[in-house]
Amino acid sequence: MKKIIIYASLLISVPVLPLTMTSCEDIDEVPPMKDHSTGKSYKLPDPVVMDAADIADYESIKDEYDLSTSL
Amino acid sequence: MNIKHIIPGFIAAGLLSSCSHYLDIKPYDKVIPETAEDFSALIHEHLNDIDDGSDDVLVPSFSTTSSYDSGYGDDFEVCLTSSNVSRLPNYVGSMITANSFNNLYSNLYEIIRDCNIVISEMKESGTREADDLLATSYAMRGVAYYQLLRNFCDVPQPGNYDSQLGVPIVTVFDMEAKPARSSMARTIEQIESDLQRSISYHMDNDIYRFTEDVARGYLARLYFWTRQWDNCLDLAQELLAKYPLLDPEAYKSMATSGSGKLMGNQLIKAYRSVSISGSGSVSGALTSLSYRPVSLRFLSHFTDEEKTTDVRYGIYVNTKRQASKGIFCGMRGAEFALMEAEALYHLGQKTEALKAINNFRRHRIKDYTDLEMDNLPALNTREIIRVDVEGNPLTPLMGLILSERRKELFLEYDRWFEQKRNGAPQFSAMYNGVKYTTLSYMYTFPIPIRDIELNPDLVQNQGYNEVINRN
Repeated sequence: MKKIIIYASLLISVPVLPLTMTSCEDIDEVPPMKDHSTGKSYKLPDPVVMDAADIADYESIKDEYDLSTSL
Repeated sequence: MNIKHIIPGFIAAGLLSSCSHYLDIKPYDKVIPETAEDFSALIHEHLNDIDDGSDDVLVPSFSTTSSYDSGYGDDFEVCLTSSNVSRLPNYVGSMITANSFNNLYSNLYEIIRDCNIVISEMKESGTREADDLLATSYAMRGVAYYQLLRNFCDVPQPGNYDSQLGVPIVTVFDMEAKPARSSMARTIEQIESDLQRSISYHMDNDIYRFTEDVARGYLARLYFWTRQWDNCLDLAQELLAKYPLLDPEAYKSMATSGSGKLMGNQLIKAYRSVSISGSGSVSGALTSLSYRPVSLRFLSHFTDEEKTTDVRYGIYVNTKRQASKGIFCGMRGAEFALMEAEALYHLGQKTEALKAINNFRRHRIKDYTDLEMDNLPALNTREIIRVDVEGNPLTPLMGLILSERRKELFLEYDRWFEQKRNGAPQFSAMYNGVKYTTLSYMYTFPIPIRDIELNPDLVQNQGYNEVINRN
């Protein structure tokens, strides 16, 4: 008798359980995360290597700073 | 337990759990909070962020303020940055490329979302707590839109508000909505309406931080930013009467007070619940600043005489030109005096404007002698702002007003926006043999790429045309 109950239960569970587990509505309700923007950014003008005039400006700023803060 | 009981038990459990709307993440018509106290948790979370200095969007933190003031604006000298370990940006472009403003955008909309939930869903009304909460929610939503306006929109041009782009306006909680950008007129209208609604509650409960006076202060800022000079003047003068200028010693005491309770004529500030000396983020921001000296462009706004007589100079920098002034994140009375002077100027009341700025300088400079129209100082040749907000070349009086504003609001999250407001000048910074140029369009940050991709109706700001993949 015990075996009959067990086998009967297993037989019932084979078709019922998959149905039960898939009976949820809207299982994919949460939209898939879609973020293609990771790693993307807006292109800005590239920084440039300082030319002679820039270097002169820099040295002027640095000289003034060194002189003023060493007093 | 016998197996013949266990197996039917499993089957029964499986059948009973057969579900409807399993994982339904949108509980239609179900709002979990019920009372004003329940809803207040949404708002207190943001207020706590302001108090402990972790809010970077409504009342920006030390870290954000130091980036704007020492990295984007020109108050500091990038080429003299002394260490490669400095975390300060070399110019605004490096932050745009790194998408650093995405969080600013999304965090502001998170605040707007929470305010919308309170405003739209809270049923309790008429109680003190409900009114305080509504007043705070309206004020915070207005301030959030104000910050979006300043960061993600061009400078408003009166007469062109309908053709200029604002930001998407969201006033109810709806996860599925994908609003397009509103007009500048609509955005300004929303901010003004929110702040006016907040003010109408006459809320003075300091625990909610955005009291009636704070909302009025932000409304004055809105009028100032949008050049509604009449409204700006009226409000600035009313607030100035309540939060008057401090004399030099009281100012010095307030400026060096740091965190904790409101001092002097302060209306709102960050870090009220933490010790500045004990905060890692604060000490990190101040340490970074010590690597980058204050620029001569800024310091030249003090004359040699003022370096000894102006109370600000002594507390702003040390002998190495490192900033020694504490960063202030908030709002205080002096700003209204500067608004008053500029509004008077633009309303054509030049004599009154000079009187206002003389009064201001008298509160900062010892033994001050009033300036007259015919002996105003010449324009500062190192100043990169050459036109005023109306697009007119600076006059000596306008130059004086802007100069006082620049000095007074040093390290207070203002200089970058002053540059944007007054002509958005192009300028360059040099570092490690490379020159970085801030172009005029960069004063307005791009709408995040992910938002543009999710919502094709969103129009991007000018200048941001090409997307690159950094991977």
